[in-house]
Amino acid sequence: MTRYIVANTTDIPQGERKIVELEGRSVGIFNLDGEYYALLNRCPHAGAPLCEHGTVFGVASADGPDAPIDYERQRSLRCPWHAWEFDIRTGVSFYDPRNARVRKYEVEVVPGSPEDVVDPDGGRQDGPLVLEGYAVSVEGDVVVVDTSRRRPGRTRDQAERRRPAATA
Amino acid sequence: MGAPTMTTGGTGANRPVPEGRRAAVVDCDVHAVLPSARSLLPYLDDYWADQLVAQLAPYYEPGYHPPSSPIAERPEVTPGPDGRAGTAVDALVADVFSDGGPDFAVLNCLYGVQQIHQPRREIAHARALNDWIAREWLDADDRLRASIVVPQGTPDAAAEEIDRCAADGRFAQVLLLGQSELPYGRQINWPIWEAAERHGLPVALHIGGVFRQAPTSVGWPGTYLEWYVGQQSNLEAQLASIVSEGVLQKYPSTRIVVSELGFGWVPPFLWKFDKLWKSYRPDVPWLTERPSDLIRRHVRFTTAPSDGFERPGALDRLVDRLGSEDMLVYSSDYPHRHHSAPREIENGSSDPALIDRIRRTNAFDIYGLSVHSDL
Ligand code: FES
Repeated sequence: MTRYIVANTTDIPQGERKIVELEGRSVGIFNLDGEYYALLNRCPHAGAPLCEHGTVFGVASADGPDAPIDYERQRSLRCPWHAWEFDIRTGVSFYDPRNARVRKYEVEVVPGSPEDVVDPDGGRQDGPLVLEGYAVSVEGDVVVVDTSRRRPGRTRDQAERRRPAATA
Repeated sequence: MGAPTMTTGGTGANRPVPEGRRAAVVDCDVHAVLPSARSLLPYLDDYWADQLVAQLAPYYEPGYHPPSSPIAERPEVTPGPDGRAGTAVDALVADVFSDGGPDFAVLNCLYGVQQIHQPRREIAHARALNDWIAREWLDADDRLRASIVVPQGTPDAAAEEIDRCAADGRFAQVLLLGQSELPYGRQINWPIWEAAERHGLPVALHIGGVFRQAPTSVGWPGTYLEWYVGQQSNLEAQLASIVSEGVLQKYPSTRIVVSELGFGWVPPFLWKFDKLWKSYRPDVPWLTERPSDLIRRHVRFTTAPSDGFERPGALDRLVDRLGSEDMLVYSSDYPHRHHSAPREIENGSSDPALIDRIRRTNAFDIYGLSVHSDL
């Protein structure tokens, strides 16, 4: 239901990740060429710490066994335990999109220092920074993770309207 | 007996039966035996005929079912003039089509031309064997169909032989042996798949081998027992190859009939294949669906030997674990003897509709064989 400031952008170098705890769940935030992606740090297969120890690979596809193999780097997160791969952008598995998926969170980069962007009326919270005892004294852009669930078929407006009732 | 017809070129999967006809009962694995190497002399050209005589007519009847061993013949079969079952068409026809028998039988002649390692000799002998089958068997009874024996050592020549025999119309499938020089998924073998698909012919993978290397996955077995049991794992390797190398994507109408290799091992194999595919999918990026789904769609298994699934309820449980009622087709494996009689497989299910599928409609999906509805 909430958007959390999880890091200063300089905390997550290109190709690196940061693991934070949001609402009691471990979440990994990745910086891939300035694009940020956040996934639950738990593999849907058998619970491995997917974001903490998974490897970022590309995704391979081919139209046929004798067709060229197309390969796009930095698209998949491969589990450290049994090597299942998930689309790092969506959390959806490449081999079973309907049934195997990792929870995905929306991430955005917000300009300004954390003090500037904390909204006391329930918008962005600095929860994880506090939870981790993180000194909220950084300057520059911050990475914000949204923990609200996005359900298909419900518009952002509908979601907004439901929110007060759900939290009441 | 109504005129049998054969629809070719279809992709199976519950194809419609023509009006006024019903799907035929098919015995998908019956063995015709070449009586002697000299039986091929009329079908070889002068050069290869004289070569055969000059070599004192070596006989390549393989030891898949050693003569006089318990597996070779059921006691009740009618022997041919040489005392062996399967060597004479009238005796085989009388046995196979006796009361309650099938409408059609598919002959798999296992004479081991594939074990001739000289390519041109293998090609000549495969050709002669197919002509012998056509003249001495298919001409004798219109309920007989046969598999095309191909020179496996030269896949391009195998494809040519498929083209040649398919024109006859009575060859219902292509015969490959379970153990090969290189796995069947390898690109060098693709001409065979391409030719089979071009003619709408299923490919039977029958127990047997080319003996260009050790005949089990791990080396030379010490006994016949080890050889026979070991062929099951060869088939796992073949199916893993065919699926992983993308044959079923490249030739999407392909149908495979795994023959005389059992079927009880299939569910755990599928489970493991799926499981590992999830981990190694990037190795085979063209494989965009579960191996088990492809195998369910493209592969059929003959019912003899039934390996215990003829016990009450066992077949139902197995089909449940296979996840498909389409995967089994009836065979007697005549004249070979297993631990149960061929039709005992029907005891394994309490569902007459399943038995009907196994005996008729599943076979119709791959062979398109039908008879008049009033038969
Ligand atoms: S726990 Fe992630 S693949 Fe098994």
